[in-house]
Amino acid sequence: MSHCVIHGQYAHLRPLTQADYGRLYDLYTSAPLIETWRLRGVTPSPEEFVQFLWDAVLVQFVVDTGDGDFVGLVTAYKANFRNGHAYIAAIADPEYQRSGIVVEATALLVNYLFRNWELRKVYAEVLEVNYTQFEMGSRTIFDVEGRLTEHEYVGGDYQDLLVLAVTREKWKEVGHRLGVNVKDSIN
Amino acid sequence: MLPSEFSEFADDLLARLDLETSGPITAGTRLSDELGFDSLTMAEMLSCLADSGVVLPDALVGELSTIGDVHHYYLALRP
Repeated sequence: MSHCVIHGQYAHLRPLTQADYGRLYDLYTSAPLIETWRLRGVTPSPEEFVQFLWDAVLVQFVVDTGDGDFVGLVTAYKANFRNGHAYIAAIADPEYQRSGIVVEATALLVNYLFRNWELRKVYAEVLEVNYTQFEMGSRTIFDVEGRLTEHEYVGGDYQDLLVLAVTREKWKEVGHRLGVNVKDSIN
Repeated sequence: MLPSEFSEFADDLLARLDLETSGPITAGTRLSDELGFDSLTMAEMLSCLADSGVVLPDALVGELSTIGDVHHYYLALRP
């Protein structure tokens, strides 16, 4: 296991290594995540899965608890430095999905992005079915900037894909609500 | 710090989370079903507790189901 590089109150982030591939494959291909998360129903070969894991990635971390239990993965990808934005994604073991730990991990990732790169905005693409699971919290952190109507065929229906965004300025105002020391870490 | 008495604790915590409630809050009020907690709200709540010096053991984080659970562990673990 590689060393932890970012500590939150509950979430501990460390670089992704080969030793994590099997556990992540199991997580991505477990129900219902295989349909509603980024694989969208397919089971790639092990080689394709590794390519998928690293496709357009800027930085990503495995999330563990303080006890070393595996929680999930947070990823920043499709960074566009000309225009100052990047996308984030997160996946969590169902046991931890409502615990708040993966949200803390996502917040640590967002803070890491704003601290290390001159990004103006961080985006997250979320299916409507997933967005409704955290709509209340998302109002305080993310704004819905776009909606692609009936964009993806998932679970027998066409679903909207929402584009959420948090700007650097808004993050400086609200990041502390998720336990991140924003004030001392980004300008 | 958050108040010790349950109703004051609940009112203070929910106000910090910008949550509005329509009915009375009891120890059995469920975070998810009745208060609309999602994972982001949960993370904000954990941050509020940490600001008061309370960090839950990892094994308990996913076990909180009612506001009474939160109050119980707050009283048990506060400095």
